[in-house]
Order: sequence, then C-alpha cells, then structure tokens
Amino acid sequence: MENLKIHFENKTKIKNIDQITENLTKILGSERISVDMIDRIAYGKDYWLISNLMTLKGTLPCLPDIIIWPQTAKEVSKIIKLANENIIPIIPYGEGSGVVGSALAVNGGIILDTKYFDSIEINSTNMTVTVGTGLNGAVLERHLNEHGFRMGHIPQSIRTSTIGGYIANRAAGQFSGIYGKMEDIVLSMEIVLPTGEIISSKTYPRASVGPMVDRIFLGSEGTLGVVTKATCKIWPMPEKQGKLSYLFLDLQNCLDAIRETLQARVNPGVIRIYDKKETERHFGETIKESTNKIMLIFVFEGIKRLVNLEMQITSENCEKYNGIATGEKPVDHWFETRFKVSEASEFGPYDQVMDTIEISCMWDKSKEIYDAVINSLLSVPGIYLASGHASHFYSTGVCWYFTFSGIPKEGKDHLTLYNEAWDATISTVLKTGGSASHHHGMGVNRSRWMQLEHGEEFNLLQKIKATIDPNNIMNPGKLYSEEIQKRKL
Amino acid sequence: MEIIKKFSKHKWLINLIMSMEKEDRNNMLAGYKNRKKYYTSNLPDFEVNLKDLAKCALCPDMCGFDAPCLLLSKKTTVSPQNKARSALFMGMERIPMDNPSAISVLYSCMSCDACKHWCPMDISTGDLMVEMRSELEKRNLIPEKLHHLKNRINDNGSVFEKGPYSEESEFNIDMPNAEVFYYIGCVSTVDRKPMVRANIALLNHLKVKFTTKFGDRNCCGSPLYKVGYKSVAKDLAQKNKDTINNSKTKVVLTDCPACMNMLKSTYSDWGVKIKPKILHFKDFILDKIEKGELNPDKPVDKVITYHDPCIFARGLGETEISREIFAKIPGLEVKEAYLHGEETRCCGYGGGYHVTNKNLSIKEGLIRLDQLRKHSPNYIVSTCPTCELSFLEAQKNSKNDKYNEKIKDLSEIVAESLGLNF
Repeated sequence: MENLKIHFENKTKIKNIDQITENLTKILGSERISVDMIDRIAYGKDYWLISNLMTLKGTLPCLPDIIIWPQTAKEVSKIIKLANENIIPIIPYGEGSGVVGSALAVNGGIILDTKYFDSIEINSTNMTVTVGTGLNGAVLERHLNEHGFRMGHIPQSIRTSTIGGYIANRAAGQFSGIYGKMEDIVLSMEIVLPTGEIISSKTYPRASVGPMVDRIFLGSEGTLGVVTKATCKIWPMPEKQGKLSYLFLDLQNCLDAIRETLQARVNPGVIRIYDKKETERHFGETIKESTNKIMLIFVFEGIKRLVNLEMQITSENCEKYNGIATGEKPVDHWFETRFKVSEASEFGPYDQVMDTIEISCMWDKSKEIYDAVINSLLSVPGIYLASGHASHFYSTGVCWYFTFSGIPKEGKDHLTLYNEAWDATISTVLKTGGSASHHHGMGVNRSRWMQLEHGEEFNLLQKIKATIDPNNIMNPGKLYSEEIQKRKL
Repeated sequence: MEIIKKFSKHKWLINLIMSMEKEDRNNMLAGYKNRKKYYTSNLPDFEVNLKDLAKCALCPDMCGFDAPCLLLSKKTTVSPQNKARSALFMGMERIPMDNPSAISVLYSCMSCDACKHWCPMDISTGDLMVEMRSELEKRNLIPEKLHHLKNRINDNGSVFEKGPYSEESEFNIDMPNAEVFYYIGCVSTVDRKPMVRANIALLNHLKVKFTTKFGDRNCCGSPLYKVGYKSVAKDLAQKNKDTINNSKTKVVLTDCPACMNMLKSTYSDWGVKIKPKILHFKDFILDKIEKGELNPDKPVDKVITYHDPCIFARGLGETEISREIFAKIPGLEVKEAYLHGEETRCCGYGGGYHVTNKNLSIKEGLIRLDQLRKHSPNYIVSTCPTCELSFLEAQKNSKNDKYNEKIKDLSEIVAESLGLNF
C-alpha cells in the first residue's frame, strides 16, 4: 500500500509480532484476530473530523499493528497480561465515532474491538439494564423500546457508537436534561484493569462506603482499563411528549429565560438554542419568521400532568424575557433532521477545514464566553464561518457548541489552520473560566490542554495513571504525559 | 457562478459566500472547482460513482446500527462507511484492485438497503458495492467461488446445478399464445414448490390462460448482476426481452421480488425495455380481489407474522399491499414483528451473501427468524421465495424447539382462503 501515507506513524515497531500474534491466537482462536492490512486501515481512524481530509488525500491517521475481537472479560485479562509482558499498547475500540481521536493508535499496538460484548439483561423491578459495553446505542434503545423502556441516552452519534464509548468519554445525549449524562446513568461496571485483574463494582442506588473507585473510569478514554459490562438506569416510555419553541432578538434574554426555568427545578428533556447564524442555517428555509433571530426549542417528556405544568412554567419564563412563541414546527424540524449528518460528506471534498467544539461554563460567563470564542475564531486568518448553539443546560451553567469553517490562506496547510482555530477557541475558553470539553472528551486533539484544564489536579491524575497502568499500555499518547502537552498535531 | 446556482436552495450558504472577504471567497471557489480531484479515477474503464463513495466514506456510519453485515461480523472493516472507504481507495489506486481482502470487503454486503433507508444522502452502499464488483468482472477478479454461478447460467439458464426449467419440471405449462406469462423464479421452482403450486391454482381458479414456458426463457440475471457479472446479466436481459417481446404476452407475472425488480427497473436502466406489464403476484391478487374476481372468504384461523422483503419495503417503498390482502381474509390475525415495514431486517440471502459468506448468512437467517417468532405465530409469511428459503433453512438450524410455525408465501394463504387444492 505504498500509495497510503500515515499521519501518526508508529516509530517503535513491535519486534516479535509473529510470536505475539501466535500467542494471541492461542487465546482468541484464528477467527478473532487480524493483521490484515485492510483491517488495520479500517481501524486506523475514528471520526476526528480532520481525518476526513486525510481520507480524501490518501493519508491514514494511524496504523495499528493487530486487531482483536475478544468475547469475554477473561480473554481481555489474558490479552492485557500478554501486552504488559511485551509492553504493547492496547486501544479499546467500539464503533470509532469519537470526534477527537481518542481511539487512534498513535503509538501503534493492538486495537481491542469490544463489539462482541453485546449482552442485554433488563431488570424491570429495579429499572436497570445490564449491557455489554460493545453494544451499539441505537440497538440497545430499540431493544428497550420494544420492551416498553428507554435509557434516554440519545447522542447524535447513537446509531454509530457504543455504551463503552459513552462511558469512556462521559458522554451526553440530546435528552440528557431529563435522563442525565452517562455519569448519572451508569450505576456499576465490570472493568479489566491494565494489569489484568477483573473488578466489578456493586450496583446500589447510592452508598457512603468511601470513595467510589469506578467513577474514575468514566471519562478515562480507554487509558485506565477496559470496561466490559455496565448496569444503567432505564425508564418507562413517556406518557406525553411536549414541544415548545420561542424566537428571541437578544441572546442574553434567551439565556436568562432558560436559567430561570432550570433554577425553578423544571427539567425539559431537550433545550437547544441556536445563534442567529445557526438559526438561519437550520431553520431559515422552514421557519420564515426566524430571520435574524435566535431560536430556542424545548422537548418535555414524562407524565402528562407534570409535562403540562413544566410547559406552562417554561412558557411564562420565555414570555417574561420577550420570547416569541413559534409553536411545534421548529421542534418537529429538529426531530426530522437531528441525525442527518451530511455536511462533512457534502462539503469535505471542497477542501474545507471544519469542526465543532463543545465547551462548558457557568451561567455568569455564558454570554461572555460565547462572544469571546466567536470573535477569536473569526480572528484566525482563513476562518470565514464561526457560529454557535447550546445543547445542554444546567441550573448552574451551559454547554456551548461552536462550529467553524475555513480554507487556509496562501502558505498555510489545512492542519495548521485547524490547529489555529482550536487554539484560539480553547485558550479563550480556559482564560474566561470555561472547561475545555463538555462531552466529546480530550483524545489526541485536546490532550494538549489537560494540564491547563486540570491545574494542580493534573499531577494527581498522572500518579493515578502510573499506579493503575505502570507500563502505560492502555491507550498511550492521550491525556497524561508532559510530551502530549507540547504535541503538535 | 456555478456554486451559487448549485446552492441556490441554501440561502444561508449564499449569504455566507457573499459576505466573505475576496481572498476567502476565491479560496473557497478554488476548493469547489477542484473537488473532483478527490473522486476521479485514473483506472482505465472505471465507471463507479466515486463521488458517492467519497460521501459515504466521509460519513460517521449513521446507518451502522442497522447494517446487518457489521452487526453479524462485529468487524468495523465491513461497516457501510468502511466498505465505501476501501472502495474509494481502490478506485483512487491507493489499495490495489486485486487485493483479496479488499475484494472480500466488497462482498460483505447483503444489498438490503438498510443503509440507504437511514442515509441523509440517499446513498445505497449496496448499489455501490455491486458497481465495484462489476469492475472486478472487467478485470477478471471475481472470486473463484462465484465462477460456478456463471458456468451454470451458460449450461442451463439458471444459477442452480440442475436447471429448474428442464423438460421434466412439473411446472411446465406450455401455452405459446397465452397473454399471461408466469415467470417462475429459479428459487421458487426448486425450493418453494408449494408457493408455485398455489400460484398456478390461483390462475386456474381465475380461468386465466397462461404459460410458464418459453424456449429461450432465462434466469432474470439478478444473482449474477449482484455478484458482479453485469455483462452476463445484460446478455440475459437481452435474451429475455427478445423472448417476451416477441411473444403474445401482455402481462408478466412473477413470484419473486428480485425477478420483478430486474425485469422492470434494472433492465430499464440498461435500456432494455420489456413491453408487457410486469406484476408481482401480490399486486395481481389485490387487483383481482378489488375487482371482485377473487373472493377469499373461507376463514383461515391462524396468527401470522409478515416479513417484508427488502426489495419491496425499501427498494420500492411498498409495504401495504400484502397487509391489505391479509385484512380481507377472515379469521386471519396479523401480529407484526417489532422490525417491520421499511425497518424490516434482511433474511441473510441478499446480494449473493449466502454464497460469499455462508456461515454469517445462516446466522442472519436465524436472527431474523427469532425476531419473527416473538409472537409465536402459526405462519411466518412473506412474498419472496428467497426470504422464505432462508427461514426454512433457519428452522433447520435453530436449536429452539418451542416454536412450530410454518413458512408460507402470501399466495398460499390466499389459496387456502379460496379453498383451493394445491
């Protein structure tokens, strides 16, 4: 494959790869291991958006050495012990839809595909489901719906992502306002540690028994072990779904209406606001009166009487802040288009550099951060589009979700422009008191801000990593090292 | 400007372009003008739609949750997006066309169009894979395990070892001047004889004069086309056209969705026009019931679950005709599978998958059978002989003995309600 280049080329080749492959085959059998180049090419990427340009140009983000498909935690344990003996990286891999390069084998090694972990067991008394972490999110939700339940974790990637991916990235779904984020949903986990031990945390509604060890694995991005099973909360299908939308002239008014609603303990499942540019982009063709306005949509779910009351309080708050009621049509439009991810495919071949960046901040910084990030993005030469929407809200703050697009000016390459746009955004966010990521994680793209993000905690995180994974075999090249903090992509 | 015209529906984009600084706008236009460099192949005589392959390859696999080959094999390598990416790399000469593993990826597809159903760009990865396979035919790269299909066509006009249209077939009805030609599918003749008998009984009950036999009647070509033998399938199309158009036939009746789709749509795409009307039996039956010529009034006191064939449900977007017929049969109770209509799941036999990936194909049949069995129906009913064959095979392979449903075709249910012997 001499016509393919590799972006993160692995400098340290596995010396005894034939022996390693033979030993892995003894554990897995010959059907669940591959060193075939076609498999290695397929697993040498995730959905880090800049890698789409790499695909078009014939560059692979990375090239793992071996792909394996274990079926049990015991098999994973044996594999991890083998990897420790030979100091070979292991990268857990679900469906590869992460957008920051968390699943890239930047140091080569073994991709551990979790898709055989696909069991589902419902407990309708406790309202929990115990699932294999390689299970696709939409397959799980479909199964639960068939039996009258839902987990309610509906990220845009639900059709192409796994439970393990959600845990690894502390993910958040579109309906998280009512069903919670992954840290709210997951009750317990089975984890294979980087030294091969298998641990299972206990399932309880709550406990006060010292620190909860399994919580550290939420958001660990495959660097602290392999989560093979999880028990999660589920809910009955809602009796009513209510929809509201409002248009605002002023962003601060819109934010205040949401803040007061949430601080009154009203919990819409979905709240989304779109700035004027994104309102034009998403609603311009269908909601004519939305021109030069900010769109706010809500979806409520639950018992009919409760939903009616929540809708009433929410409407009162929106009207108090001069919101113009726009009915259900914008919400229906959102439902129709929420999984239609085609921009990258449509515009990718036009040599565009584009991406989205989600961050979080407290309410008192929410407008300031929005303004600062848009300005900083537009100050990057070559960036001609910077816009934002907000997709998750709390009684305490907000998740902003920015979109940028540009083409490098003469003398610059695409990756340089990409890095400049990210640098401008994240440095602005951190300076203004926000957090570098709300739910996509850090991966190869954002790990360089780990130290700045965590401050004094960073040193402790490094110690935890060194203790749990002394040989640094689990998904190396992410999150912790000093070297990563200085890495150029 | 070309770009303005192209995006005239996206007012926001036009506004954005018009508001850009001159240098940015020029850079953007240059990117737009040069886009084809990413999907133009230098391979001689390469005809696959690389633009669609590129679009599919740049998507995060938004159809992945419903892509049976991915769900079965657990291999990201054969997700729709990765199949497209491999094919794009092949077309752009980054992966050699003769790489056996890459070729194997092209055959990891059931052509069920579940991907297209969820695709925001309306792309069928299955169709793209079929196009890629025909590139293999041009280069003599079709895997050896498929060669026998072509050889059998040459030997006996069908993909079966022993020609189903042989002289001794019980279904030979030779009425050269009949206006109705019952074009019996290969699988129907060999593996779904009760369905063919029911169809013949229905036609006789209606006193329709029909033939099943023409001298040069051939396989429709679908199995060959799907695995890459496009040129052979085109030859068959020409032969079938000549045979049918030179006869007295006014209506071609098929019992197989694949045959119907080939005769009606694919042939037409190739510029081969079959003049007579082409109908599947379900369309014919509903028409006759609505005209009052068929009156299925004898109770069929059974619970049934209907399996929508992919070609009807997703290919043609038609899911109601069979259900309308069921509603007219007294005593019949339809209990739907959770995945039904356009969200049906493949039986495992589509796109030549049963030949190229036999074990996974059998597994897929078992998965679908389990989904259809959820309500313990008396009959699992379909309108496709290949789906029905898959379920019959799945029953043999199933270790679950608590079910005792029968696999039926819709025609058999109608014939039962008419009190016909078949």
